[in-house]
Order: sequence, then C-alpha cells, then structure tokens
Amino acid sequence: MRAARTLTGLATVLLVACGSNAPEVPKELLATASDCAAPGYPTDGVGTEPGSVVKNACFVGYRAPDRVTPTAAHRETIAFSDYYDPAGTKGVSLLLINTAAIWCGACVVEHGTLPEHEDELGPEGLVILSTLFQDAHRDGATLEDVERWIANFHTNFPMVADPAIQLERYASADSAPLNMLVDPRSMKILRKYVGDQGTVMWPYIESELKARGGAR
Amino acid sequence: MTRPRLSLLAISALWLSCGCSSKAVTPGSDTADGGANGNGGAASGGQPPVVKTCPPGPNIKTDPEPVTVGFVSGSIVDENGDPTSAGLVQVCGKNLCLPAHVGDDGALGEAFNQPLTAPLCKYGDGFDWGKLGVPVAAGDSQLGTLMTVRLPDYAGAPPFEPGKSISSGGVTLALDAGSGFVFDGLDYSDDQLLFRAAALPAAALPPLGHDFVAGYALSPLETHICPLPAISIENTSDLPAGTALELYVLGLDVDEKWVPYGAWQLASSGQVSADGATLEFPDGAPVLSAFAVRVKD
Repeated sequence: MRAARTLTGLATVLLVACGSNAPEVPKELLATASDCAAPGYPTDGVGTEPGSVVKNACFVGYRAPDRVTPTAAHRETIAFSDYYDPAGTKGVSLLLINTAAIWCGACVVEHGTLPEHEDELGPEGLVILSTLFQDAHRDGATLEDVERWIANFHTNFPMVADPAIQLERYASADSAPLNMLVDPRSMKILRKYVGDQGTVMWPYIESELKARGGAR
Repeated sequence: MTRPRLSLLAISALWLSCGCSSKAVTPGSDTADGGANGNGGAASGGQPPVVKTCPPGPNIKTDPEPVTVGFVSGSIVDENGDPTSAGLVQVCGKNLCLPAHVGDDGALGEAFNQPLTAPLCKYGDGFDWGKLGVPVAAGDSQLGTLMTVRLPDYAGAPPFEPGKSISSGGVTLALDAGSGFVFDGLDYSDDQLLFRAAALPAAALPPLGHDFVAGYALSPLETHICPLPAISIENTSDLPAGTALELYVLGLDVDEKWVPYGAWQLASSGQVSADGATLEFPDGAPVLSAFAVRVKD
C-alpha cells in the first residue's frame, strides 16, 4: 500500500512538480484567483496578528455539511469573504476560523465539541469555519478526508480542505489547532489561540457575542 | 491518533470481510449498529449482520498541569537496532502535538520550548510501524535509544470477524460470536482495519519502564472490541508455567476514552498456560494499543 502510494506520488512529482518544493495539491482543491475575487473585501491593514485584517483566502469544501450531503457533487469554493459582513446584513456576529489535522489529537478532541458549540452559539451569530490541512501521515488533506471527518463528528458548520496550509501564515501547522476570532464587520483579527485553549476561548466568544447583541 | 478520538467509526466485521463500507456513529456513543442504519448491506444479499452495541468507555479525564518541554534528544532504531524515522515521531501533550523532525539517521534532537500537558514522545506511526511512547519530563530530556518494530504487512492480516480467533505476531484475540467493533475511522481506511501485531525485542522494553518482560505493538490502534476478547500471547520469554502475570495497555489517545493518556494501565491479570506455551489473559484489554506484560509481584 505504502509502496503504491510512493509510486503514485513519485509519478505525480515527475509529471507536474519537477524542481518545486511546493506541496502537491490536487487541482480540484485549488480555488482559482477568480473564485477568490472579492470586490469590497478590505485590503488595507492586512496582517497576521490581532488588530490586523485577515487576508482573504479560498478553499474547497462543504458549506453546510449537516444539510447538504458532503459528496463530490456538493463541493464548493468557500472564502473568508463569504463571511465579511460590514453592515451586519448576513447575520454574522463573529467568525471563528479553526484549523485541524487528523494526526492532531487536540484537534480531534476539540472537534468532538464543536458541533455542540455551533448548535448553542450559531443562533447568536457565531460562524465556525474549519480547515482540515493534513491526514494521519501529515500528508495534505483531501476532500475524502474532509468527508470522513464530517461523518465522524457530524460537523454542522463549513468545513474545507487546506492541503496547501494557507493558514500557516497565522501559526505553525505544527502547533495545531489554531483558533482565530475575526470581526466580520472589519475582518480584523480579534484573538488567536494556538493549541487547545478552549477553557479561555469559549468564555471570550460568549462574552463577545453577548456584547455584539446577537445578529441572527 | 490517536484519534479518537474521538469520534469513532463503527463497522460490522462481517461487512468488512465482505468488503463493504464503514459507518460513522455519533461521537461518544461508540455504538455499532451496522444493521440498523447500514450503508450498502451485506454482500451476500441477505439480512445485514446484527452487531452488538458497545457501551461507552469510562472516559477517564486527567487534568495534569502543563510543563515546559525543552530540548529533547535520543535516537530511534528499528527491531534490528538500525536507525529509522519510524514513520512519525512526535512529542505530544494533551493540548498540543509537535512533530520531531527525525530523519533516516534516527536522530532526535529538537528544542520544543512549549508548555505541554502530559507530554509523551510517540515513535512509530501505527501504520507501518508499531507506535510506542515514553513520557517526557519538564526541561531538557535525553530519552536514550528508543526501539520500535515494523508491523506485519496488510496482506494476509486477518479481519475482525465475530466468532473467530485471529492471530498476528504471536498475539491471538478470541472474538465472541456477538462481537461489536469500534474502529478509529479517521486514522485508518477500511482496507487497513485488519489485525496486526508485532513483538517488541527485549531491547525495546527498558525505556518503557515497569519491568516488562514482553511487549507488543498492535494495529489498528484504538480499536475497541466488545465483549473484550480473551488474549493469548506466545510465551517467547520462556516464563514458567503458572506464573502470575499482568497485562498493561499504553494510553496513546489524548481523548482518554479507555486509558489515561501517556500511562501504562493495568488491563487484566493472567498467567502462563499449564503447558508453558502461552500467556493467557482471559479478561482481555479495553483497547488495541501497545501491550506489555509484567510478572505479578
């Protein structure tokens, strides 16, 4: 099995990635520039730390896996800009961007609780967007991995694959999970939590939602 | 994985043996009702098999204080004593899991400088290599030589089939006819859900502590079988007939559904068989992980 995987990988490298150190990312997982175009999305003050604007990013995955069966026919491009809500008309009060990997035990434990948090706080305006970036071997996550993840956890929020690890600009993938809270009015980063910090993060989210009055 | 983790995948062993697909269940419920909500049905075209529901684990939740892990060094070797990366080496706490960048020279030498709860150096990936772990203390640590083993090939490995005794690498599980199975469906694909075990060489045991006289790496990790199958192990340590024994299982899963993370937990008592051929543990172990045997005091 491993030999077959190695041969397949070798063939792919020879065909498409000669001389490149870039991670091999299947074409279907690469959202194109036009997919990611978001006129009106803030571009000033882009950065990676709290107070700066989160750069728009696009992924392929499932927007509502609890309502639309996560199969190949239902994959779509999902962008941070989808949740940019400057006027509060989309009902988004707070955006939680989360990273996960199958090898990451803390991520696995965390995702056992996220659907419950979504049930509780989604009506208050919290949107969780989670990116699965690697499998158990630390190879790039596939959409099949995402589908198994969704089935396993009964995921009820947007879940995408991020095999290129686009979110590594915010924190090392090695220190997953990353949880990053973003203000949907400005797309500014409010807080970043690296590793399992649920005991401090969820009280903050609840207080922030309360302060924002709930938008849904 | 750990995984599980977790949220687990329950699969009918009969479906597995027929090549049918797996079925996700509610996280935490650990139920295996492949007949009720199945996807695909039995290959024979007959009634879906009735699979026993497994009760949930004790969900032991330890809450250790984080410690800052500094520079960790050591070397990873295979069963022949040759250097290896063993597929994957990580230093993982319950809160954070950090990769150790071990190459083919097996050399581990890395400054982590992170607060980790119950940090464990895990070596071996649980797929091609047996997965083991040793605790890492606060500050700098020299772990010495850590040995793991190659797991048997998937080809020829037995599926989990109720009513059968399945063997690999000197370990035999006696599966009840009404067995239920809860697998880690995140880490393992359907075709990897086969029983594989490998004995640890004597040189692999001292770093694990506890005066173990035998040890085994098993796969798929975090597999729970109910009722617990009796376990029989070849007596390669030449222990005298009748010797009272203890079977320990290593907690590799941060979710601690069955075993505290990072700890060797006593799973059951047993003894060397009357003919001296095997180590018998009729009460089994709660989860497939690394096993180790100790002579009872």
